[in-house]
Amino acid sequence: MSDRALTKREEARLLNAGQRALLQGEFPNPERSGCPDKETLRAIAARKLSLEQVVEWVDHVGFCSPCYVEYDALRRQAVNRRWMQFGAIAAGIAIVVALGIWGWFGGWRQHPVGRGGEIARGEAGAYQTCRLDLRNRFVLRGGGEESPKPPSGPLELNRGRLDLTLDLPVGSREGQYEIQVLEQPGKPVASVRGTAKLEKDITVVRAQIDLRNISPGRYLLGIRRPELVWTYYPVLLK
Amino acid sequence: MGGDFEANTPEWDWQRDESGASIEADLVDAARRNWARVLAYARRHQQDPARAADILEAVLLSLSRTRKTKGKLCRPIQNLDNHLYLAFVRRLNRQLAKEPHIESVGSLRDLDALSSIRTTPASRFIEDDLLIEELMGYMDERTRRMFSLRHMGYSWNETARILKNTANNAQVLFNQGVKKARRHVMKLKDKKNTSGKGGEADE
Repeated sequence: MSDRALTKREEARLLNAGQRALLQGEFPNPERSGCPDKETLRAIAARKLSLEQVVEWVDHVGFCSPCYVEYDALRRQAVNRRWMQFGAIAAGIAIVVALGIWGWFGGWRQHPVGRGGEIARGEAGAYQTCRLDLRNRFVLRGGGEESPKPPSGPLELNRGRLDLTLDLPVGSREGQYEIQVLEQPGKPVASVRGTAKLEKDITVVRAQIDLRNISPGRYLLGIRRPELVWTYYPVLLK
Repeated sequence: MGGDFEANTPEWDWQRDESGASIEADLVDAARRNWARVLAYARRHQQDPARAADILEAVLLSLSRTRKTKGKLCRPIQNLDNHLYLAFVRRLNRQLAKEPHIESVGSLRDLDALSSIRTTPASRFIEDDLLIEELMGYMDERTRRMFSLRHMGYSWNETARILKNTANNAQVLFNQGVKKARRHVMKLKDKKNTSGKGGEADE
C-alpha cells in the first residue's frame, strides 16, 4: 500500500468502479426511502440546481442505486441534449459563415434570387441621372449597313434605369428625336423618344431609358430626328 | 427487538439502551424508515434479516451513545437517514471482512469451474468492485461527498466550490481520504488473512 497520491488514471478507475457498483445495484433502496423526486433529479442532472441545493442530495444519490441509475440516465439525456444544442448552434454559425464567404466572393450577384433582388431594388429605386455631351464627339453618320468604327474613346453608360440628358452637337434642331442603344446598326436593344429644347445655346434632349436587362459591353448610341439619318456614338455599357 | 423480519419493519419494543438511557425517537424513526434499505443491502450480501436487525440495533445504540456523550461538541448530522444507512453499511462490511469467505459449490466439477473463473482477468474487476464498495463505506463524510460529486459528473472546480476550497486542495484532500479508507480496508483484510481460518463474526 503506497502513500503516493492517486494518478488521474487511478482516480478514473476508482470513480468507474464506484459508478459500476451503484449501477449494479450494490446500494439497493426498494422502498425509495429518502429519495428525491424525479423533478429534483432532473434538475440536478440538467445542472439547474445551485451547488448549495445539490449538496443536500449528493450524499443520498451517491449511495442509492435506484437514484443513481435514474440520475445517470437523466444526466446522459441532459448531456446529449446539450451536445445537440451545441451542434445546432455550430451548424448555424457554419452556415452563416459559409453564406458570408459565398456572398463576399460574388456568389450572391450570380444567383437568380440575388439578381432578382437587384432588379427589385432597381425597380424600387429612382432613375439615375446621366448626362452625355455629344457636342465635341466625332460623328459616325448614316451607318446604314456599314459597321461603324469608333473614332474616339467610347461614351459610358450604366446599366439601370437612366434619366438620360444628351447635349446634342452644335446646330442640332429642337423637336422630337429617336434615341436607341444598338448592338450594331439595325439591331437596337433599347429604344426611346425625347424632345430636344434649346437651353443656354445648347440643344438638349431628355429621355428615360431602361438598360437593366442589357448585358455589359460595347454598343452604339444612335440618335436621329424622325425619318432622318441615324448618327452613332460608340458607348460602353457598364 | 422482535417482529417479522422477512416482510415487515421489525417492532422496536425497546426505547432504552443497556445502561437504561432512552434512545431518541428520531433515531428509532430513522431506523424504521431505512429498514427496507438496510435489509436489501444485507440480503445482497447473503445476510439474513435477523443479522441486519442486530447490526442496525448496534448502530442505533452506538449513534445514540455518541450523541449523548459528545453532545454539542460534535457537528449535527445533516442527513440522519443517510448517516444511519452508511453506518450500517460500514459495520456490516467490517463484520464481513473479518469472517472467512465461504462459498458453497454443488459438486467438484463446480469447484473446478470456479477455480478456472478466478484465474481470468475479469475476476480482478469483480474483486475491485467488492473492494470499492468497502472503500466507499469507509470514506469519511467529506471524501464520500467528493466521491459522490465526482461520479455524478461534477468537475474538481465545482466540487471544490461546494467544499469552499480550491480544486487543487480538494484533490489533495480526496487523495488523503481515499488513502485513509484504503488503509482501513487493507488493515481489516490483513487481519483476516493473518487470523487464519476466520474468526468471530460479531464485533
